[in-house]
Formats: sequence, structure tokens, C-alpha cells
Amino acid sequence: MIQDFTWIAIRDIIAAVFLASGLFFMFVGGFGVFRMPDAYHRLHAASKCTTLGVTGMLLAACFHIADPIVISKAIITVVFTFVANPIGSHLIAKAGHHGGLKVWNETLKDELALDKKDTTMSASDDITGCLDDNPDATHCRLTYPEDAREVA
Amino acid sequence: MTQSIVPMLIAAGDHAVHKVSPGSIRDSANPVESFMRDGIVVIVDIGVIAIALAIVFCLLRMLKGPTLVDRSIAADTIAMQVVALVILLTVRLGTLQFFDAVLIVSFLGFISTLAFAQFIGRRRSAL
Repeated sequence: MIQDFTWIAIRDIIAAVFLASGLFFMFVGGFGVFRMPDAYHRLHAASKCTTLGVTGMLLAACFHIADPIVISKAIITVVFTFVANPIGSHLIAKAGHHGGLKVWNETLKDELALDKKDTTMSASDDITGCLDDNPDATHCRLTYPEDAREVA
Repeated sequence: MTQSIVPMLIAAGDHAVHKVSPGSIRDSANPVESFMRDGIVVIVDIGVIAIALAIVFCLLRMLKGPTLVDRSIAADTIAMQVVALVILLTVRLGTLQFFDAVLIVSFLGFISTLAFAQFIGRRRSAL
């Protein structure tokens, strides 16, 4: 009985566990994008669940097809996903927040909006409206301390 | 020519399948190995349905989403679900012809996310 658990069988068991967990995370991510009440909540569901899901499924592929080509490409893809997915969701959340995206009405605290009103915080130098065609984009200049020192 | 495109596709990746062992090649004398081989096939078949449902949910959000941010989130999630489908295809067939698409599709999803973020930030209204 115990000698039936060869390395191929153990590899396939580990691959099945990783595959099932990765599929669970992918489905939960897709469902959360539909179900969550707010764009920030949807972003939360999308980025975290797809990162974990793709990682688990790539690990399953590594264990099922024990090949150096698959393992090297999977490592590259996992590292890229772990770098790229938070960056993309952070950029979308930042752009949406600067564009005045509404938060859910049961959200407890929006600290970035409070920091934008506070002129002593560094978040108050808002990049919104800092385009070249904006005539009243004076608040975009001279907001950093070193620029203020140069002017003074 | 059109009816022979699939064997040509399979043959184009033959240099990459030198050591890959799909389920049909392994011997089925071992009960645990054969059980896990069939189990992984069942998991992949269920997973295709699950990911199709997730893509349907993302498409509904893309149709319904009140702002542009929701639609770009749904597009990013659909790109990652396509990555998951490619991984499922690789695991199911046991070949490596489609595995390059994983990195390419995830890279395209990241680039499209960056483009959407730039576009939303330049519009100055996320609605």
C-alpha cells in the first residue's frame, strides 16, 4: 500500500491540491468583481485573488509537469505577477481616487481624502489637473520642499 | 491547408515536449498514480467551468459597472482568467506549446491596466 505512493503519485497529489486552491481563488476573484459594492472593494477582490490563483495554478503545473522549461517560465511569471498586479491595481485605484470616484457609503474612513485636504501632508500636492493644457495649474508647481527653498 | 493547421501547431512545438509526460504515457499499474491522473483530469474539467463562470461574472460587471474604473478592473480580471485557462490547457494536455502564452497574456494584461490608469487619470473624472 505504502509503496504505491511513488514520486509521480505524490507530485500529482500536490499538484491537485495547488490546482484546486488556485481555481478556488480565481473563481472567488471573478465572483468578487461582480459582487462587491464598491470599485475599491472590487479592486481588492480582483488583484489579490488573481495573484494567488495564478500562483497556485502555476505551482500545480510545475508539480504536474516536472520539466525545467515549465519551472523556469513559471518562476518568471510568478515574480512578474507579484510585481505587476499590485502596481496595476494601485495605479487604477490612485487614478480613480484622483478622478473623484465615490467610496461606499458604509466605508469607515478615507484617509487619502483627508490627507488631500491637509496642506501640510505630502499627498496634498495633487497631480490632478496638472496637465499642460490646464491654465490654472499653478498648484502643481513649487509644492515640494526643495522647490520652495529655491524660490525663497 | 486549413484542416491540417492543428497537427502543424502541435508539430511546431515538438522540440519542447522532449521530457513532458502526459497522462496517457504513464503506466496505469499503480492504483494511486492512475487515480490521481484521473482526478487531475476531473479537477481541470471542473475548473474550466468555474473559470468560465468567473469570466461571465466579469463580463456582467463590465456591462453593468457604473464607472470606467469598474470596467478596467473587469478587463484586468478577464486577462488573468485567460492566463488560468492557458495553464489549465497545459496541465490537461501535458504539452508545452501553449505555455508561452501565460507570460505574454499576463504582460498584456498589465500593460492594458497601465494604459487604463493613464487614461482615467488624464480624463480627470473617473465616471
